[in-house]
Amino acid sequence: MNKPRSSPALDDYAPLVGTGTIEELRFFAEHLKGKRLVMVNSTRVGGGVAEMLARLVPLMNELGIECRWEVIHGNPDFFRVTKAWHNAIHGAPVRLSATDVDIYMQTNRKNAETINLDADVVAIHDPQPAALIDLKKNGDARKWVWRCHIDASHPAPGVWDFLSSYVERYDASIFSLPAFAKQLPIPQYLFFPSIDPLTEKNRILTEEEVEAVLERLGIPRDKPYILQVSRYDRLKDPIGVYRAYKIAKETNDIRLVLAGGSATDDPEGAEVLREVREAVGNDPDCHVLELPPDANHEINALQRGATIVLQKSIREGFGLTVTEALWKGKAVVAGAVGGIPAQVLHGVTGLLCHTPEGCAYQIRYLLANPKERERLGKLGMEWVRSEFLVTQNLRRWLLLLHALEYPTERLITR
Amino acid sequence: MNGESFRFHTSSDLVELTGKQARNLNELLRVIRTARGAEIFHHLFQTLREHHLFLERYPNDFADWVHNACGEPVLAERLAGVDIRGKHSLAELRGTIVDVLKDYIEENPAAGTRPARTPFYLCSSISVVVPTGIVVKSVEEFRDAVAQVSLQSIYHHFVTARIRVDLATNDFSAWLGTSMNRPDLAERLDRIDLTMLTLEGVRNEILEALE
Repeated sequence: MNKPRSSPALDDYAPLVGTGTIEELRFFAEHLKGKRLVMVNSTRVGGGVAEMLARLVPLMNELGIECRWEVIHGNPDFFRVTKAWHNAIHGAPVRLSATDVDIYMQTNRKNAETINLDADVVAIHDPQPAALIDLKKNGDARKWVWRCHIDASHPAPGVWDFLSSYVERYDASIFSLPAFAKQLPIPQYLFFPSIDPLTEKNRILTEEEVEAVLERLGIPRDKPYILQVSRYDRLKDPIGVYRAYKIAKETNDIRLVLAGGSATDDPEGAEVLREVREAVGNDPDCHVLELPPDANHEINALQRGATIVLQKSIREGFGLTVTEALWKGKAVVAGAVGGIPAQVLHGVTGLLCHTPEGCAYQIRYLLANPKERERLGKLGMEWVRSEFLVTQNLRRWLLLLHALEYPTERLITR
Repeated sequence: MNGESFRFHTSSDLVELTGKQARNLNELLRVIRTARGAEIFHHLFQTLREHHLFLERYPNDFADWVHNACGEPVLAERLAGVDIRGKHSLAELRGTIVDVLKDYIEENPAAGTRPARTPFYLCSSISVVVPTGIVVKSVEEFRDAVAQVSLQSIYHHFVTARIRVDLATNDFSAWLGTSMNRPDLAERLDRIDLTMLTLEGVRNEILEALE
């Protein structure tokens, strides 16, 4: 198996996005050479933000931006508090306690003493390090940016009131969707999340590689299969997916593959998985898979082997599994929630649904119309190429640096 | 100006969220009436860049939202029909859109307050423009360059130039007409219906005109 290099160079993306796009990134970076940017988050491994920074930071440096990545440190109590606040920003009814505020502030103050934020632009990711803005002094030449990766549209009031008192002191903020943002007295920019086409989860696989994975996972290729990749969570509606499959199965000989993470350390996930297994019973055409967290190669192969990819969520963040499927040129049927409608433009890059019945209808439609699957798949891939790849994310950061550094200058003349 | 060379630039837009939103047509009218030029530009032109991937979509955000979120196909068609060619400024375009909306709400008062399925979020664009380093001095060199520059560059000079330079034309036609003394080519390029072609299609039409 050809594993990709850990940190690809910009030119490695040229075959996927075109040399013109790479050339343009260089044009936009030319004027910013030597600018210093520091990214700050709360973990170097695990999670989408760390994955994104691991690729973005080296590419920035390749373009001549002096980009560093700092990580704040905290004890389990700190991460318990910030996990609860993360849920609160998502809308969970979490009460703000004085003890939690104390734990949060102590950790931020302690990190402020040691962290190196010497840069032209300081980009703080998510709520964990947000209080580092206390380091911003009057007349500070640095520009401070808060990148919110969470849907902050309906936060629990107490927690948000506390956090927003810090967020409002930044020079700018970034949100993943217009619907995820809050009214703030500082500029807010839109950065879609992105995927990296060169990672193990997204790189092009040979047919042999796909075959080998499907064989290992016990999925025969005697008939088409529809797939949903997501953790076993009621908000991903796996039972609804099964109902949609059962309806479509009445007129189509198909398999269903549900691929989610292992639920051993997640009590609710284990319960949902049990419900799914119970619903599926001994249907030999249903495959309920528990994959380890690092099963990126397997997920890639499952997506590439599928005839239709589903993401029938009832509630969703941005929905990067949809981005991954679109990038692989797959026809996608997905719930019209969260960031999915920004990716699945109904009838153009995929099909949206609202119910298991609607999902089944779209599955039947696509199974009966292979040319339509091909058309949607092609356009979906182009849409991802245009908006949701790491190269676009890089472009947005370059434009933001430009907007912050040269607020009145829009025409760069070398 | 006769004989001046043409310098190819390219541009890219950073999207800014304004925090303003509309939940029905009356609110959309209110939002558009007070929208800044950069906001009108974003919803008419940024989408046109995206639209060039998908001709199945309406060519601007207003029409798209009115159709998909408000279920008002008649108004959507009228808004989609607003032709950016021939308009001299964003203020003029805003006025046209306001008139279309106002007339429709007057004809259909109930539509004004009917809740949309999803809000319309008003955004703005910050365009950053950079030179590509490509400079041409003749029609022949110009043609070769058009064949090789990025689609972003075509978009910049051929689509957004109409508003940027406050002309009812585009950078290419302006240069061909004045610096190259070729008003015939300038006019031919001006007639290209950019809202009905992909950007690659626009490039091909330009190349064909220059043959």
